[in-house]
Amino acid sequence: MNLLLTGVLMVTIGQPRPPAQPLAPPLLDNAAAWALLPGAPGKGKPLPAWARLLAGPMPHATAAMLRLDGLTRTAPSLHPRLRALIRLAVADANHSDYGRAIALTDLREDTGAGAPDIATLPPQEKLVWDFARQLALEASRTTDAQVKELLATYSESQVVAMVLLVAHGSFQDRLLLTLRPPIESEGVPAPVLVAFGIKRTQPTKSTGPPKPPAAVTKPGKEPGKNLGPDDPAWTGQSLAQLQESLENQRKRVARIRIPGWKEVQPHLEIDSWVRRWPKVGWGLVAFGHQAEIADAWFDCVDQFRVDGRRKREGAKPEGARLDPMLSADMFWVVTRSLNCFY
Amino acid sequence: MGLAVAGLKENEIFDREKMLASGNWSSLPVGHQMALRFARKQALEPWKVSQADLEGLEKEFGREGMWQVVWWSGRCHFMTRVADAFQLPLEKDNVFQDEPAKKP
Repeated sequence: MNLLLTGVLMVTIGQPRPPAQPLAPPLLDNAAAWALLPGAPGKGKPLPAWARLLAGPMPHATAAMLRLDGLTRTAPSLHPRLRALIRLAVADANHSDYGRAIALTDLREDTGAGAPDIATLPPQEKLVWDFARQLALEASRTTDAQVKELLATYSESQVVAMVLLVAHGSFQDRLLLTLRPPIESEGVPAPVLVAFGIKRTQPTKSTGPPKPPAAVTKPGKEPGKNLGPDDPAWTGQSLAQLQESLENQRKRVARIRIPGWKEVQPHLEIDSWVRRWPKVGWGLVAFGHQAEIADAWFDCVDQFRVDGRRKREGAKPEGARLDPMLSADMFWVVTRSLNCFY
Repeated sequence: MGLAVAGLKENEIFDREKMLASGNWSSLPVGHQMALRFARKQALEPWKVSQADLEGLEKEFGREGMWQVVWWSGRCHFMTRVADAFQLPLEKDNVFQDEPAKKP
C-alpha cells in the first residue's frame, strides 16, 4: 500500500497533465463557467477544472457540488491534516490523481506539510487512514471493532464527519475518474464557499404512495441480447440468500447511536432535507452531527434533478432515459456489487 | 428500498430483484442494461472506466444523458458508504416517501 501511495503521489502537482476525457463537456474558462452558475456569487474566484467542465450541462448540480466540496474540505470538526489524510486515503483507494491533488493541495495550504509518509503516521491518524481507505475500497468489510475504536478515540460528530468525507470522496472520485479534468499546475483551487442562488425543490403536497412507473419492464429493442453479469461474484448468491441477509440486517445493532428527532431538530435549517424524512436512520445520524454537509449532499441530488428537467439538446428522444426505474435499478446494482445491504 | 421509492409494489419488487440478481437482464432495453453494466464497473473498478464504456452510453443516452448516467451511478457511492460504515438497521417501510415538513 505504501509503495503504491509513494508511486502515485508523484503524479500530482507540477507534473504533465493528462488530457481531459474526449467525451467530456467543453472546458470553459473561469468567467464563462461562473456566468452559468446560479447567481454567480463568487465571480472571479478560481473554479476547479471539474466544475468548469460540468458548469455547462449541470450548472445547478455543479453549484451544489462546489458547496459540498468546500464544506468537506473545511469541516471544522476535523483537524485540517485529518481531513486531507481522509481525502488522500480515498483517492489512493480509487487511483484518483485529481483526488490526490485536492488532498495534497489542502495539506500544503492548511498545514504547510508535504505528502505524508503513511508508514510513520501516529496511531490515531493511522486508525483513520486505514478506516477511510477500507470504507472507500471494501466498505462492507469494515468492522464493528474499527468503528468502536474510532469512537473511543474521536467524538461521534468527528466520526460522522469522517464517514461523510469518505462518502463524498467516493462519489467525487467516480466523477473525476470519468471526466479526467486537467490538474491545475499551481494546485487545485481553494474551496469555493459562497451562497449560490439555488432553491430547494419544495416537498410534494401528496403524502400518498409514489406513482407506479409507466412500465416495470420494457422489452428491449433486440430481445434476447443479455448484457447482464455472468461472473460467480454476481450469480453465486441467490435472491433468497440476499433477502435473508437483509432480514438479519433489520435485527442488528447500529455501530453508532441514532439520535432522536428532538436531539436532531435544533441543528437544522428551516427547510432542511431531513425534515421530510424524519424516520430515516442514517439521516438522523448524519443530520444530528453534520447537518450542513448532509443538507449540501441532498442539495446535490436535488439540483441534479433540476438540471435533468431542463431541455437537453443532443439527448436522443428514443433512447433510454434516466427515469426512476433506471435510477433505482442502478442503485440496486451498485449495492449488490459492493455487498452493501442498503 | 430504492425500488419501493420508484413506485413498485411488493410483488413487483420481488420480480425485479429476481431478474436483476439472475444476471439475465435481456428483458430490459439495451441502454438500460448498458447503464447497469456501467454502474457495476464503476462501483468495482472506477479507474478502469474506459472510452468504450462512455461511447456505449453516449450511443444510447446522448452526450448529456451519458453524463447523467455517470453522475447518478457515482451518487450511489455516497449513501452506500454511510450505510456500510454505521450498519444502521434497515427500515421496514418506504421511509423516503415525503412527509409534510415538520415545523421547526
